[in-house]
Amino acid sequence: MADVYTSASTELFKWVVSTLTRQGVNVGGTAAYPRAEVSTLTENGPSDKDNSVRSSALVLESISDRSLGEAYDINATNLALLQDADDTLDNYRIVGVVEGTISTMEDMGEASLVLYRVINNLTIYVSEI
Amino acid sequence: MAELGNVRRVYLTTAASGGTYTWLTGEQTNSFNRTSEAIEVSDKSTIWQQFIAGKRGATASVTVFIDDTNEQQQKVLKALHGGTTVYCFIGKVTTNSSSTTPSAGDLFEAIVTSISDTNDNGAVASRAIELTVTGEPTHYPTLK
Repeated sequence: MADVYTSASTELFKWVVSTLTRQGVNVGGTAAYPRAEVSTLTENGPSDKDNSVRSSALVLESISDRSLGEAYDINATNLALLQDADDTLDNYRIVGVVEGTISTMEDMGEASLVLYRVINNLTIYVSEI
Repeated sequence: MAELGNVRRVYLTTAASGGTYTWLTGEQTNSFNRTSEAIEVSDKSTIWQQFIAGKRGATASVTVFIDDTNEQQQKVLKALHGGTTVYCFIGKVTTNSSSTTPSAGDLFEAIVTSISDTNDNGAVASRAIELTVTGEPTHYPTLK
C-alpha cells in the first residue's frame, strides 16, 4: 500500500513523447515544422486513499506552417497513436485517455510566418502498478 | 489530535474479534454513522420534553474504484447476493511483522444493503457500498 504520493509526471511525459514520435513530424523541443508538442502536463492529486489513481491534464499542440488541414491531420494521428500504445509504464498503468476540447489558432511566427495550431485538451487517468 | 481522513480506512476482517484486516482496495471515501432513538417520556411535572434512549444502530458508507477481480470487493458482492454479513473495521490499524491490529476506530458486523456502480463517460468507474450494522460496534480504543 503506498502511503507516500509520488508523481507520475516524469514517466507519463516520457510515455507521451515516445508514443507520438514518428517520421515526418518533429516531437518535443525542436523549432522545425510540422511539430507535435506536449504544451502542458498537469497532474492532479490522488483520488483514492492508496495514492494510486490520479488524473493528469495534458495539452497537446499540433503545429503546421503549411495549413490547418495538416495540423488537424497531425492531431488525429496523435490520438490514434495514444490509443494504440502499450498502456504499461515502469511504475504505472494508463487507465484511460479522455479527449476534451479542441481549439485552433492561426499565429504569426517570426518573419511573418503563419503557423496553424490545433490545441487538444486530454485527460489521462493513471494508476500505480 | 486532528488527522486526515486518508488514514482512517475501511478494512474487511474475518471475525468479530481478531482475524486478518485487509484494506478494501480502491477506497476513496467512507463514513460511519451512529444513531440512537429518543423515546419521549414527558409528563406534567415539567413543560420541557423528556426522553430516554431507545434502540441504537449504525450504518456505514464506502466508495471504491471498481475492481471486480479484487478479493475484498468480491466478498462484499457475495454478501449482498447471498444475504450474509461482513465484518468490517473503519479506522486506523497498527501493522507489525506478524499481524495487523485495530488501534482507533470501529469494528462491526453488517448487512450489505446497497451496492451502486457508477460508470460515467470519461471518468473512473466507482462503486458506492452501504452497510447496516447488526449488533453493537466495538470501539477502539475501548470506551472508558
